[in-house]
Amino acid sequence: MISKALCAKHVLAVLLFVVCAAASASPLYGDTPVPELQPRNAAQASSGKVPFPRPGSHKGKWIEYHGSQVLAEGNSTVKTGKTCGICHDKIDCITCHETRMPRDHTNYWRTRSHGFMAEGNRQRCMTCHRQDFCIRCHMETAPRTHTATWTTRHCTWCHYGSGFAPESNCVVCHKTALHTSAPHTVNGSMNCSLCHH
Amino acid sequence: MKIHAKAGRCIFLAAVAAVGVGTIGSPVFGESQPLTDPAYSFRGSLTAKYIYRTAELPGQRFSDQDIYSTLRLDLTTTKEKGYEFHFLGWGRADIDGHQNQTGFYPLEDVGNAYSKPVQGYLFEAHLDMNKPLPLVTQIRIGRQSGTRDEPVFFDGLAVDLGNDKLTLSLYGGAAIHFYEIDSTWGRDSLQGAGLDLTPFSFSTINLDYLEVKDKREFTDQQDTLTNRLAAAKVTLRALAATYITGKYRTLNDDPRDFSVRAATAWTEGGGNVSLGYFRQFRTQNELTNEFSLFFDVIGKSSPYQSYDIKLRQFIAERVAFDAGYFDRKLLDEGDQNSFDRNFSRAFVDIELSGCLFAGLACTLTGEQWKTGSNKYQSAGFDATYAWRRLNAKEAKISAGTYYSLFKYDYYVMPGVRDKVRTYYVNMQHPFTKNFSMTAAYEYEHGIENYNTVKIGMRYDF
Repeated sequence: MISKALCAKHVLAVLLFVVCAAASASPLYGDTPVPELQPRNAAQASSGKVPFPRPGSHKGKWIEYHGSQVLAEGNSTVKTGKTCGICHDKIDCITCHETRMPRDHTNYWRTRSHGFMAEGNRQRCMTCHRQDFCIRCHMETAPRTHTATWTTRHCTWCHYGSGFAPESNCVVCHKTALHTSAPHTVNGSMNCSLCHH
Repeated sequence: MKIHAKAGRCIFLAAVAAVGVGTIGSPVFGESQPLTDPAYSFRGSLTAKYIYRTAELPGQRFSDQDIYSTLRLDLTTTKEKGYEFHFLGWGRADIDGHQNQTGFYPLEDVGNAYSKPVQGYLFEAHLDMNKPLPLVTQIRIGRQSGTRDEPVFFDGLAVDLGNDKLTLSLYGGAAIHFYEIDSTWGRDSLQGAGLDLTPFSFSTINLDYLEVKDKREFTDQQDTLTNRLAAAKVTLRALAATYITGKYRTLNDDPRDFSVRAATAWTEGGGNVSLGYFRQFRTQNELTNEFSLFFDVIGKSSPYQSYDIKLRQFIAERVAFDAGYFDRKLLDEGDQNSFDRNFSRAFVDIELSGCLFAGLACTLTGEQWKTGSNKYQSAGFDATYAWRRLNAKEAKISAGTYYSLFKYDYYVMPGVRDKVRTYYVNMQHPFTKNFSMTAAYEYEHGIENYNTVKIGMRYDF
């Protein structure tokens, strides 16, 4: 008997084939002749910069690849009139890397999952961010655990049964007055604030 | 260095004024400038975006409204030995006062990490002089980003000298750190030099030196760090679209890393492939802001190596296939800790152009990350319909959804699973050659539910 998962895979494969076939048969957007564009002004004419049409490479997942191309072209990339500089200005790089976020930078990313990426691929963060960006948020805003009664709850949270390791978690934000181990046995029934103020 | 509220307001006022001048100055709103302007060209853009967000937690609902704006200006004289002026500023304003720094606020972001609701950032504001002297190709004065491999910002001077075979760049000034806490202008500085040699048409050699001084005012120690980075890069090209490049860097005279990348493209078949390798030789600890691998937030970065491969191929005229794999491994497995782990990422995309009817493109995506015992898996679908092109802008609407599954050991207990379903609709419409508007809606359904509405405009001068 064919399992549901196998059946679903077959249906998906057939659907994919049909859509691909339909795609190959239908006219492609952009197949219509593109009017030859003229430079918008004299400076553009003299520099040879025209904003359109884009090269064939700039399709689909080009964003995933453009960094490799920039690396290959070296420092000449941003110099006017060469490679990327034929159409782009240096300021185009900054405009994207400083003011536009990747698609995966959602609300969920902001509140939870960005640390997940940082633990394994800091180089990706370095594409746009420097360390001061992280410090600004982590030292000036509070995480989800830090609600009203956090002051009294934090002892047992850190030292008893939460799965947290203070030496690798609290220090993300707290640089001073850090204590990474309790001086005595701690359990969840204790009222820490009786002694610790 | 952040511009404070007053400067931020100035950027907004300048942006509004620029739009007014641009609009009134145009013979007909929406028409591009005449082609004949013998003295100079003035280009630029103003964007403004209103963002409304809500977050729903059990028994609680939060909302936030912000405005973002970007102003870009490019003024260029048309003479060969001319002048250029470039400006790029970005600002944001919290318009409803919803920012809470004392406790957890689910809509909090870096813009809420300030005591004032308006922030402005000046990325570029420099005057360029082209060929002012023999052998001097350009002098740039003012706020600028670096033109070498390292991403730096500074207020200062940069000079390019040389010709097609040999160029030398010298630059330096006050280092700019946009988000640094308690920073004081001028206490951080940087200076660098770069040499580009093209001995043969198929090869390039780049040599770089960069020294950065960073006074760390957010720590109790108030110490000043100085780092010196030296880099040598060789690039070899074969045919039109095949290259291999290798780069070796030292930091404070110690070996820092080595990387090599090879790529080729075949235009006949409509595909390309890229292979990369990276090796970090030594543990990276406390460094200046420009070079730090986030040590002050997530600790040291131990020696590791990584490799990646990306492949793109048109498997039919209108069917593009993209796939990639990245793998990072610590050289010593014993170095693993909470924020320094082995990591792998794989993705696959299939894009169908003109599927079903002209103008419609459909994309299927799949992605997986893995770090230690933590995993992320995602699958999604996007459909984009474009029906008009005006100048370089398309009128288009995109809709899609993706499902994300996170398995991680953070926060409360080991083995937590978060399932997030995201739905979105994005729309862009150019009304004239110069004026376009965007609208977007996104809904994230998970432990919390988020709604985000974005309405934006762009005016090109």
